[in-house]
Amino acid sequence: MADEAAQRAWIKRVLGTEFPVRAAAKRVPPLMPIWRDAKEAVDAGIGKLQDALRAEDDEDLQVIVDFGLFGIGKQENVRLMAALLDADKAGTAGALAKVVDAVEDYQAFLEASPVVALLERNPFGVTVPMRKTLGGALAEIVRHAA
Amino acid sequence: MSDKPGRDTRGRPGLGTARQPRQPAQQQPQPDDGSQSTGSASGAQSPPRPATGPALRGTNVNTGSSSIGPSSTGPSSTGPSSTVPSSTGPSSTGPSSTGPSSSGFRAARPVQGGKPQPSVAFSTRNRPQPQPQPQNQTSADAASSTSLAEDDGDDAGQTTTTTTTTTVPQPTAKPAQTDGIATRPRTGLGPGRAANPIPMMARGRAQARDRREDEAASDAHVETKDVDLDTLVRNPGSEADDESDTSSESSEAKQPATKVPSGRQQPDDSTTTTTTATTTTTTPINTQAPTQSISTDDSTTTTTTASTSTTPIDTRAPTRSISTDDSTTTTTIASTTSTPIDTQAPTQSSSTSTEAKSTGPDPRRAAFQQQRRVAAKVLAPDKRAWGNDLAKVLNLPMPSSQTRLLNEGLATAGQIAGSNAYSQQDKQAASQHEQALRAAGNPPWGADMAMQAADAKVQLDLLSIPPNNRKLSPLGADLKGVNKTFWIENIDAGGTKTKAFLCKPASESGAETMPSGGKPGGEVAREALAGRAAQFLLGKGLDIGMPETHVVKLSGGLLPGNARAGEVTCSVQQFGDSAGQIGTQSRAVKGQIDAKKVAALGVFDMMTLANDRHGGNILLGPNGELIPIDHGENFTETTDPTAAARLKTTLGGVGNALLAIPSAHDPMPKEVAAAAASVNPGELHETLTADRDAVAARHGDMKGMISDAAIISAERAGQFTKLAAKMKPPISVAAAQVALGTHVKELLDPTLEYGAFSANAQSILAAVAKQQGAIKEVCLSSNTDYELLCQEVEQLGWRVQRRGEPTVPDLVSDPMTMMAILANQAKAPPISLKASDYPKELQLPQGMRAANAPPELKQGRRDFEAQFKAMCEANLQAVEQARDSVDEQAANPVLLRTRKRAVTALLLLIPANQQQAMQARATQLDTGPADAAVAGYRDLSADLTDLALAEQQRRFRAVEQPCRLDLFSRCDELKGGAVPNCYYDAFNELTAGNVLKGEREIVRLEASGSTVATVRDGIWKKFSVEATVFAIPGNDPDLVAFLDNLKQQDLSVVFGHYTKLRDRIYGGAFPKKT
Repeated sequence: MADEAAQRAWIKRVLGTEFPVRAAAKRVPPLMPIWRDAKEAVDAGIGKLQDALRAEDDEDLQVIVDFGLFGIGKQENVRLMAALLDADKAGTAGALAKVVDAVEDYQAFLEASPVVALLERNPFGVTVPMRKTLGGALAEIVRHAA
Repeated sequence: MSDKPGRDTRGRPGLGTARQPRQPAQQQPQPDDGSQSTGSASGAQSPPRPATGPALRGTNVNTGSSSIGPSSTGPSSTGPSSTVPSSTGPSSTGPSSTGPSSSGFRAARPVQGGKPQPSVAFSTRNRPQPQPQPQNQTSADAASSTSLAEDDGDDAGQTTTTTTTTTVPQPTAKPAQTDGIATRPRTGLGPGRAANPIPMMARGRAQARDRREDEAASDAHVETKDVDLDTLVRNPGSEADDESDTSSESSEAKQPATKVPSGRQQPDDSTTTTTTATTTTTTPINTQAPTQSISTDDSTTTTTTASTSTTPIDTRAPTRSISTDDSTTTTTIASTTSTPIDTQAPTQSSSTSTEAKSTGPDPRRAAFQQQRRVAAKVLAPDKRAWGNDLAKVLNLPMPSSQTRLLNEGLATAGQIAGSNAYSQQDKQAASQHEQALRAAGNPPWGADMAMQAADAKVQLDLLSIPPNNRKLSPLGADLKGVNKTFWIENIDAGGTKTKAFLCKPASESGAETMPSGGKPGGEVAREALAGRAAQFLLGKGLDIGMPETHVVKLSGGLLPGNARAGEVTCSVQQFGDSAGQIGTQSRAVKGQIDAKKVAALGVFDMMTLANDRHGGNILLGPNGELIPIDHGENFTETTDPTAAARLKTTLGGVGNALLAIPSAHDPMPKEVAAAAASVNPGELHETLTADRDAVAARHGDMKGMISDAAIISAERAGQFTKLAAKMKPPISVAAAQVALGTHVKELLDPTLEYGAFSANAQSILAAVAKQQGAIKEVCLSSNTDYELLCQEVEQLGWRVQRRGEPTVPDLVSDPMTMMAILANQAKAPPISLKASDYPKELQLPQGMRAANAPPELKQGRRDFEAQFKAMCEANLQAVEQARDSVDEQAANPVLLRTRKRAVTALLLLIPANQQQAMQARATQLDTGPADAAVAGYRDLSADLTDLALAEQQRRFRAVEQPCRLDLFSRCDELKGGAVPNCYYDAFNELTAGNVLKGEREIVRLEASGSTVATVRDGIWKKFSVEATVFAIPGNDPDLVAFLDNLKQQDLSVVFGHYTKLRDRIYGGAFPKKT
């Protein structure tokens, strides 16, 4: 930014004219880290929950552990990650629009999924703040991307 | 479950009404030998070339003077609908007609009782009624009362009268069938390993060490090393020895001792303490038979504990270990190293000595209980519930039902042991059953272990109920069965009552032969054997989701209303969550059912020769899975002609609910086909035989209930199923079932050599492979379509099995026979000869009786009758051949014609604002390809049926109350107010009052439009009441389902305008021929 300002000042001073200022492209911070941080926090909670389930040594719960709770919301997550990667790489309006779409899908999933509600309400004393953490990250991503 | 459409139809008022015409008075005349099958072939001569129509076509002979024995056609023959010649059928119903006039339809129906039925408004009354099964057909009145009580009415007349009208549903009754507990949140132990006995053993060892070291620390008991029971069972000594070795060395030095000092207990507490200690130390030992271990001091505990390390897990022989002082300890140890030590008896017998030494409340008592909980690793109820909920939404397979049974049983035992609400006697009993459960080890169990575990679980469930309420709960009155059916419930620590098992006592020996062809009471053994077969197939990769089903003996006193003394043998089936019966599900729901599940169940039904797979015997699980229930009629005794003939309907025809599921008509999924092909029928035979014998060994009264022939038939059915699964390209399981059900004689005859069987099977499968499209179309027809098909077949003189009605052998019930008849317009022959049917030279002179005829004339008449009989048999064969050759090309025109008629009629019954759109759909189909039109009209007809039903329901609700009041007031008026409780219930099944029941006929429609019903009062005197139409059981499952729903909502009187709807749909509402 400083260089650009200096250049503009030089043109105006030397050439006596102003270089037409092109509307600056929207500057969007990298979105992926926002999501990654939130996801890791939630995954840590899920990991603890799986440990707790495993510790019960119960066949029913073991089925759930074997299923792998990390895979919950996989479809939405894959789509969001792809969109975030594109947006961070290209930064085009189209890519950002895809991010917004993907975020909305994920938000809908968080809102409606009974699995999410169950994970958050688990009776094992493990905090799995999916809606709070992931929802917060999604809101932040949308704020940047919209 | 006892709630079977067929049976329902009898058990529920309205349906019983429909069946009433089968009463003797309304039976069509039968030949001397009672068979109606003779004439079934008449139309058969025409197929496949109508030009070669049978000689008997159109024969109008029905004097009955010389009936032709039905035996000629055999049990599987398709009987004609009546003695009425087909010529009575209305000409208006010809294939090309757009729809018969109402009168034409009625006239088309054969008469009953040898005389034409009145042309009443309710056309369904006039259709030929199925012939009752002889053994059940006693009298009209008997039939009436029976039907009210039975829920297994699938078999008209086969069920016994076990209930009277006094047991009709009460307003509060709700169908309990959909309530389930399979996945209910429950306190339960973890997997078998969590509840394994090793921790107990460890505690026992710790106690021994405690005494030796004399250190007080109850922590020693909390040693809960996890050892898998399986491992232990396989190597009884290995784990235990290992653990013993290590722990005895390490913990002897470290573990604080737990005192079990003599004389420390007060009498009140001593028993408990002793019990706990003894139980704990001997838990690993399975002592089935009573054992005794009498100890007067602590040495027994030590001895017992030590002994467990080398004692086999499963030792049932009674043992006795008596120790009186320390000196006997060694002896006891020695003996117990090879002999199981009693776990229960000592707690009773030894208490005397220890009580005297009791000194007060043992602080370790609570610790023991805590240890017990820790050792058992009881999963908290909220965690269990959470896990169940999560597994459901993730659609995860739940652990096996055997595991659930084990876990829940152990949880109940723990609950009883830890609660003050139960007596010591109950606790001891619970402890005994807990040991039996533990001794069963980890699932999967074999037949014997499974029975043992199930029995223990049932007893624990019963113990969980407070003694003053300890009885089984009758199934909802609206679902009452032929034999009463009960719930075995469980009350958890929080006082919540949940259903654990469905319990069906065995039929009493006086009952009639069962639909399976087996002896009364044998349905219990069949249920259990079906459960074993399911386990067998599970091992082959076919999971049909059958709940655990076993045989147990219960004290007769636990069964409300039981008159039998002593113990009663019952089948118990673990109950699970359910979203209702498959028969009442919408088309959309059925369309979403997983093809693999459907195919797997189809394979199971074939291999076990299921003879009762109606829509009430498959439940829909909460996740859309199928839950098959009620297998008391599986393993059909194919040597019983009646039972074998039923299979045509119950497996290969309209009585099989699986055929109404769309995915049943998809090619058999690869996984299912592979699994079915992997079954070794010989192994199936051996397994079934062994399991049957295991049941009989444990329950002597079940011996001989399932014959060797039945198991051989199952093996043969397994061979056929295997061949079907190997077909390339794969055929649908529905087609395979139709093939098996309609070719019982050719495939399941026990005398058939394998070579002949194999050849038959190949040829039958090849034929049915070409018929799959037609089978699918007929089976998935809307109810309206199907009814029209039935009517057309009836117009040709045949009798037809309706959907949702009790199975009657020898009716046209399978899709291909129906199509063969219609495609060839094959008329049914009369079943007897009239005098005028004989050639002139053989006719009797005026006034001469046949018995008095000259010998030459007699012989000539006999020869003629024999020819007639042979001709009928030939006709039957021709029909059967035609059946195997009918393909889509032949069937589609028939289906299209009837479907168009249905649509035309139904369009009049839907709301006006939707008629245009529906008409447009029909027009579009008419302009499209003909093949697509068949399926398109099927869907359109189904949609219109739904719409018409909804519209009629709406109208019905508007008129119900006025109708009811009308009947009440009319009754009062007629009886001068002397009838205090004059009312009918929903289905003409009277619930109370002096008016016992109505005639099942709605006799006529008055000119004024009102209906007169005949009812009887308390002394069986007839009188008539004027009312609007009573609810008459529909032959439409949707109608029945709807009525059921209404019944649940309001058990008061429900009058049906359904009849009018049905009449309009199926009868008078059809547009008249122009």
